[in-house]
Amino acid sequence: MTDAGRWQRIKQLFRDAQTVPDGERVAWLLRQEGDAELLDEVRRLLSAQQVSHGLLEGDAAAALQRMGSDGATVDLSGTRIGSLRLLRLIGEGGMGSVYLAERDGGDFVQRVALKLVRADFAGRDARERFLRERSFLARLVHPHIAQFHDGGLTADGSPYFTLEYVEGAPITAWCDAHRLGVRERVALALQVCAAVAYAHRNLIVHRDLKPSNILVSADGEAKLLDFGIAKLLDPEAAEGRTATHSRMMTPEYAAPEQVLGEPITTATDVYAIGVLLYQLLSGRLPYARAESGAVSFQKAVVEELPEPVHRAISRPLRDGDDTPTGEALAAARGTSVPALRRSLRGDLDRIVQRSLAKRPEARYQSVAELAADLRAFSAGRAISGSSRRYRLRMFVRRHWLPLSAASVLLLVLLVSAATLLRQSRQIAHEAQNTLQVKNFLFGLFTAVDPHEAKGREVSARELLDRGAERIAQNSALDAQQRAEIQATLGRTYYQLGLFDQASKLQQSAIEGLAATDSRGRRLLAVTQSQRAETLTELGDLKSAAALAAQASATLETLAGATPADRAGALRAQTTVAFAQRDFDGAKKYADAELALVNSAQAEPRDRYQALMAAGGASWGLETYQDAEARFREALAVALDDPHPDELNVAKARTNLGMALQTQSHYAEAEVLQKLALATDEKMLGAEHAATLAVRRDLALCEYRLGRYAPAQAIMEQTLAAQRHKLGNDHPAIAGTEINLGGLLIERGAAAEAEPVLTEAVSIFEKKYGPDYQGVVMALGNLAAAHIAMGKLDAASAELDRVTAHEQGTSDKDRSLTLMRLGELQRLRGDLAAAIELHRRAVAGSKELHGENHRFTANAHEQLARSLRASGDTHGAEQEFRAALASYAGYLPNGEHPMAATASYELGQLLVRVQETHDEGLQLLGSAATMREKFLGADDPATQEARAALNAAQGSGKT
Amino acid sequence: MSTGIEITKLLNAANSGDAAAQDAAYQLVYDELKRCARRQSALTPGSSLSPTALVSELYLKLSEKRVARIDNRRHFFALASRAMRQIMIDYARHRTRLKRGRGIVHAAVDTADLGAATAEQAIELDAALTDLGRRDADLVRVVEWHFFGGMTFQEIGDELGRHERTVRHDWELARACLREAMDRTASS
Repeated sequence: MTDAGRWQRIKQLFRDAQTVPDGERVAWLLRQEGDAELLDEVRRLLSAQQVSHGLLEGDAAAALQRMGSDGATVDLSGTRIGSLRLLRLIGEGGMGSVYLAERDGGDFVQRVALKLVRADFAGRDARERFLRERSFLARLVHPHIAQFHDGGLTADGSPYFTLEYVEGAPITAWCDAHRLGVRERVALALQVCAAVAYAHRNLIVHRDLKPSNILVSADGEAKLLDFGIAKLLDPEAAEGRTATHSRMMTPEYAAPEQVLGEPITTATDVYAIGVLLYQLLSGRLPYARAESGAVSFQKAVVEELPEPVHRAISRPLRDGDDTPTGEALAAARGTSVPALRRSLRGDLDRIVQRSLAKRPEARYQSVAELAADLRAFSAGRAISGSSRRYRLRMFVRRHWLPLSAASVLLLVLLVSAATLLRQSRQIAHEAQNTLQVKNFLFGLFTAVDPHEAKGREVSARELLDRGAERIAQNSALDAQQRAEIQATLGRTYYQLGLFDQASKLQQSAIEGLAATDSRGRRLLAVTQSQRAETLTELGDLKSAAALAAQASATLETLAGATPADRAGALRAQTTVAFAQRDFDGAKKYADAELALVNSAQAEPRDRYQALMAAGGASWGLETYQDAEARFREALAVALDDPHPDELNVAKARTNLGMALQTQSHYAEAEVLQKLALATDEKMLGAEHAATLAVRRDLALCEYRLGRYAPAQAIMEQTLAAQRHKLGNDHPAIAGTEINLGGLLIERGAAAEAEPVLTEAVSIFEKKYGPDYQGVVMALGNLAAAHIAMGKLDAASAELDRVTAHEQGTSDKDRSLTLMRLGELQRLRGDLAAAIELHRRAVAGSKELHGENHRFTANAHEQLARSLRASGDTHGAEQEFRAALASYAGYLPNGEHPMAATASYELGQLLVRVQETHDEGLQLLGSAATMREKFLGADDPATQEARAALNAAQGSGKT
Repeated sequence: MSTGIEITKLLNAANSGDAAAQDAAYQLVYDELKRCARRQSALTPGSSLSPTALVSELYLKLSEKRVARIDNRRHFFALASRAMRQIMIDYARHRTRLKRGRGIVHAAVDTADLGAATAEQAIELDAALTDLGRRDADLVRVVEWHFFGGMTFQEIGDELGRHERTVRHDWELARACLREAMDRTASS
C-alpha cells in the first residue's frame, strides 16, 4: 500500500470507529482488515481522541485570551461539572468566571453559559454575593434578560449556576457591525430599557449596565447579562449594609452616587443607560477630558458636565489615537457627520442629558419614563420636557378582573407564506395570456422560499420592493397587465403584514383595471375584496365595508366568477364585519361562505378558511362552544393535509386557544398557544402581526392563570413591537393596553395602569369615536384603576360614561360595571347601595358566565367585602366561600393570587371565632403558600399573609 | 476606510490567480482582523473575543453594499482563518519573549503562569499543524476554518459540499493527530 493509500485507510477506519460505542472500539478494531502497524496507529489516534487537551478544547480566541491572562485565574476549560463539560472561558466579570459549557443528552447537545465564583475571589463575601445574583436571576424571566436555567454545587462545594448562552456581540459593537442608524439604535436601547424596567419592578437594581453586559444575538435581540453586583432594593435598608459593595463599579459607566458611595437607587441604572445611549449614539463616552485621559473617570463623573451628545462626534482626537474619526462614526451609523449631528441635536440631546443628571432626583424618575421619551422620539412626538412629576406609588391592593377577553381580542386572519406563493403562481398562471406578465411574476416569486425559516420576510420583502419599483418603469406591460401585477404584489404585501404598501398598490391596481369584459370585472372585484381586507387592517372600516359589499355583489352575478372568488369576497365581508364588531353580520357572511365551500368540491384549504371564519363569527356572538367546535374542525382539516401548512395549523390553534380561554379552560389554551407561538416565531418572525397577536393571547392566558410577571413582560414586549411596527396610534395598541392595565391593577400597581389606560381610551376614541365598545371597556378599566388609587370622583365620572353607554342592557351584560359601581359606593360609605349592586353583579355574572368564572368569583368576593363592611360577618363568610368555590371550579388546583386573597380574607374572619379557628389557620396558611408561589416570598402580600398566620397561631395558643 | 474596497479588489484578483494580489490580500486581512480584535477587546475589557464575531465582522465590512462583492466566500474564509492563525502565533511568540524578559521575577510562579503555558502550546500547535499539512491538507483546512475561523461544522460542510458529520469526524481525527504530535514534543 502506498503512503497515501495507508493514510486513506487510517482515515476510513477512524471515521467508521466513530459510530462504534466507546468501550467497544478496541475489540471492533481487531476485527478490521489491515496490518498490525496500521491498526495500531488507528488505536493510538482513537485513544488520543479521548484525552482532552487544554488548547484544542476551545478555539483560537480562547487561546489568545488565555495567553493574555497573567496566571491569576485558573482556567477550568475541559473539565466537567455534573453533566456539563466546560468548553472555554468566555468571560470574567464581577466575581465570577463564565464558561461556555455543553450538556450532553445523547444526540442532543445543549450549550449553556455557566458561572462560577472566581477562585481568586472565593471569600465568604464573594460567595454570598454570588448566591444573591443566583437568586435574583432565578426570579427574572424576561425576553431581554439572559434566562436562568439552574444552579448547583461543584464537587468542591462552590456554587455555580447555568443560564442561557447568548451568542452575540456587545451592543455597541453589534450596532457598528450592522451599521445601525440612530433610530434603530434607539429601538435597541428600548429593549434594554424594557429589561431594566422589568428588573426594577422586581426590586432589583443592576448597577453595572455597560456594553459588555448587553449582548445582541444574531437575530437582533438584546440580552442583559451579569447581575453580579446587582442589588435588591429595600426601602428600609440600613445605609451600612450596602456600603461594601457599592464601591464596585465600572468607572466609565458609574453614576456620581456610585463614585461617592451614596445610596443606590433605580436612578443609578437610569444614569448608566444614559451613558450607554450616549455611546450608542455618538460612539464616544460623555466626558471628553476623561476619554482623552486628562482626568480620571471618577473625577469627571462627579465634577464635569457631559458634552452634548451631538457635539461629541467631532471631538478632536489625539495623535496616534486608535479612536475612530467623526467620519468613521457617522459611517458606522449609515450617515454623514452633519446629518448625524442634526439627528442627535434636540430631543436626543435632552433625553441623554436628563439621564446623566448629577443628582439622581433630577434624572428620569424611572427607566419606564426614560423609555417613554425614547419612544416619543421614535414616533416623532414631543418628549416629556421639563415636567418633574413624581408619582407616588400606591400600594393599595384591589382585586379587579376588569376585562372580558372576548371583546378585546381580534381575530387575525392571515394567510400563510405557502398559500401566498401558491396564489401568486396561480394568478400568474391565470394571467398567462401575456408572456411579459408571466415572466415578471415568476421572476419575482420563484426565489421566495416559504419554508425557509429565518430572514424569509426580509428576502420576500426585498423581492417585493424590487418588484414594486420595477413595475412602475416597465414599459413592456400595458395598463391592464400592470394593474394585475400590482394587485398581486399588493396582496403579497398584505400577507406579509405590510399594509401601507399593500393599500397603495391595490389602489393603483383598481384604478388601472378596466371593467370592460367579464375577466376584467372579475379581477377588479377580487382586487376590491382584497383591498377591503387591507383597509380593515389599516382601520378604515367604512371604505372597507363599501368595497367588500361592492365586490361581493359583482361576483355573485358574474358568469366567470369561481366559488373561490365568491368565498373570498364573503370572507372579506366577514373580516370587515368583525372589525366593526358586527358579529351578526359576520356570522351571516361566514355561514354563506361555509355553505359555498361545502356545496362546491372545495379544496381543503378553502374549507379551512370558511371554518375559521364561521368559528370567528360564533366567537364574536359569544357562542363559545360553537366557536370551539368550528376551530377544532378547522384544526383537524389543517392537520389532515398531507403537507400541513404550519401557519394554518398555528392559526387554528391560536383561535381554538382563544375559544377555550373565553370558556375559562386556561390550561389547555396555554398549551395550544405555546405551540402556535413557536410556529409563528419560526415562520413569520417575532414582530409579525400574527406573532404579536398570539403572544398577546398567551400573555392573557398567563395573566388569567395568575402568572403576572411573565404575562406583563410579554405584554410590554408586544406593546413595544406594536408601536415599532404599527405606529403609536394603532387600535391594536389600545387592545394590548387594556389588558396590561387590567393586569397592573390586579398586581397592585394601579398608578402605573392609569397612564396606560388613559392612552388606550384616547387611541380608541380618536379612531372609532366615543361610542366604540373598546372605549367603554378601557374607561371601565380606568375607573377600576382610579378606584384603586382612591380617585373616586374620576372613577365616578368614568363609570357614568360607561353606564350611559350601557343604557338599556340587562344586569347580565353589565355585571362588571355593577361590580365597580358597588365598590365605589362602598368606599363612599353607602353600604346598602354597595350590597345591592354587588348582589346584582353576582347574579348577572352567573347568568352570563356561570358559577365557575373569574368574574363570578370576583363578584362574590366584592359582595363579601361589602357585607363585611356592613357588619354582616355571616353573609361575608358565605360569599367568600362562594368565591373560593368559583376559583376552584376553573383554575388548576384552584390556585391564583386572587384565590389567595379570598382565602386570606376568609381566614381572617374565621380565626376570630373559636370554632372555626383551625379552618381559618388553614386558609391563612394556604393564602401564604399561594402568594409565595405566585408573587414570591418577598412580596408584601406574601409577608402580610405570613404575619397574619403567625399572629393567629400565637393567639390560638393563649 | 478604503481598506475594505482594497481587500475586496485584491481578493478578487487573487481569485483569478494573481499571486502578488494573494499576498497583499492576506496582509490586509491580517491587519484588519487584528484591528477588529483590538477594538473588540478594548470595547469589552475582560470579556471574550470570538473568532466567529471577528471573522464575520470583517466579512460584513467587506461584503457591504457599497463595496464591490466578494466573489468567493471560500477564499475569504481561507484567508481570514490563515490570518487568525498567524495572529495567534505572533502573539504567542510575543508572550513567550515577555515571559523570558521578566523570567527572574516571576520564576517562582512559573508553573501557574497559564498565559505562558498556553503560548508555548500555541507554538507547538502551529508546528504540529504544519506537519499535519504535509500528510493531509484537508484536515488542516478543517482545523483552520473551525478553530481559527470560528466556522461551524455545518458551514464548513456547506462550503465544501460535504456532510456535516464528515466534517465533524475530520475535526476529531485532526485533533487526535495534533494531540498525539504535541504530546510527543512535550515528552521528548
